[in-house]
Amino acid sequence: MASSRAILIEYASGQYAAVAFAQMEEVLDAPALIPVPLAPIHCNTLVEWHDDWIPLFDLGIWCGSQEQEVKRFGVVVSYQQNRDTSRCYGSLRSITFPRIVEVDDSSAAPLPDPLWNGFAKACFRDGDRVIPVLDLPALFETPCKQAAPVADSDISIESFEENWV
Amino acid sequence: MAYPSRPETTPGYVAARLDDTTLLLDLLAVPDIRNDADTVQSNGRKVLRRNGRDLELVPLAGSMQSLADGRRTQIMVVADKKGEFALCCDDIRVLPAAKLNIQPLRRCMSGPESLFVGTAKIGETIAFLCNAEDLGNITRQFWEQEHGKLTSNPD
Repeated sequence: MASSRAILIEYASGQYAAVAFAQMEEVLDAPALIPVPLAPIHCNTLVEWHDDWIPLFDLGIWCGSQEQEVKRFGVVVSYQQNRDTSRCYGSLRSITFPRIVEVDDSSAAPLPDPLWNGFAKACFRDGDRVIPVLDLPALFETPCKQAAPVADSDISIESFEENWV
Repeated sequence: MAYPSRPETTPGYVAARLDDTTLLLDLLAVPDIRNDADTVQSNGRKVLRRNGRDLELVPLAGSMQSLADGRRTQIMVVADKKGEFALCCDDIRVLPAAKLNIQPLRRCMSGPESLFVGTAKIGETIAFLCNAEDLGNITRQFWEQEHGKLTSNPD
């Protein structure tokens, strides 16, 4: 049975999303934020990282959470839009320090909410939580107007492992 | 939102500071830069006379401005497809394109009301790249909500 390591990001109180362990570059503790006026509210700040400015994405706001938790950490992640393009970097707000978990095919689960359709590559169960695995290119490269929830059926997961790289 | 001019197509950029925000605009979209001494009063409004027309001075509206009357002393004339508008600024610099390393903003930072499409570092400051059409649309939209149509853009 194939297994992988994932990083859990607490984007709202008790709510988690995951990225593959290999996609995590660094965890920033209370990074300095650079506001971007008129940007969508869920992604309206930049973080300086390695002489670059990368977006800081707030999944909690994107999901419509009304809670005002302090999200102290910025989890820097990397992705490629396809195999021929260079790596891109972004960051995700997290309330708590990211946690590493082992995931295997047996824990695959349907997406918990249609909001994630198109923005999650897979989903798994961790205890009593259902955790979407983020599709980082879709998340960081989709303009806000296309990021509205899609009412559609759950994504079926043919192979959990192949969705992780 | 259209992507702005790229460095290979423009000789330079205008960096205009408004409060804590620095805009970066294609130099080819800025036909004139003036200051407060060039303005006159017309029908109770401060205007800039240019090519026989009066351009009302407009602030950059919304979350980017906290304009105090008479505070901004520099004026950037911006030309877009709808005409020209005169934007009040705190500080204006013109920089050659070759001196700037402009990086596009990720698309997740754009939306129906967003303005900026790229960033560049100028000293210790981050400047936000926009294009004249988007800047013009947002500026007119905010202005016209409060003051009616810009007289310099009658159509």
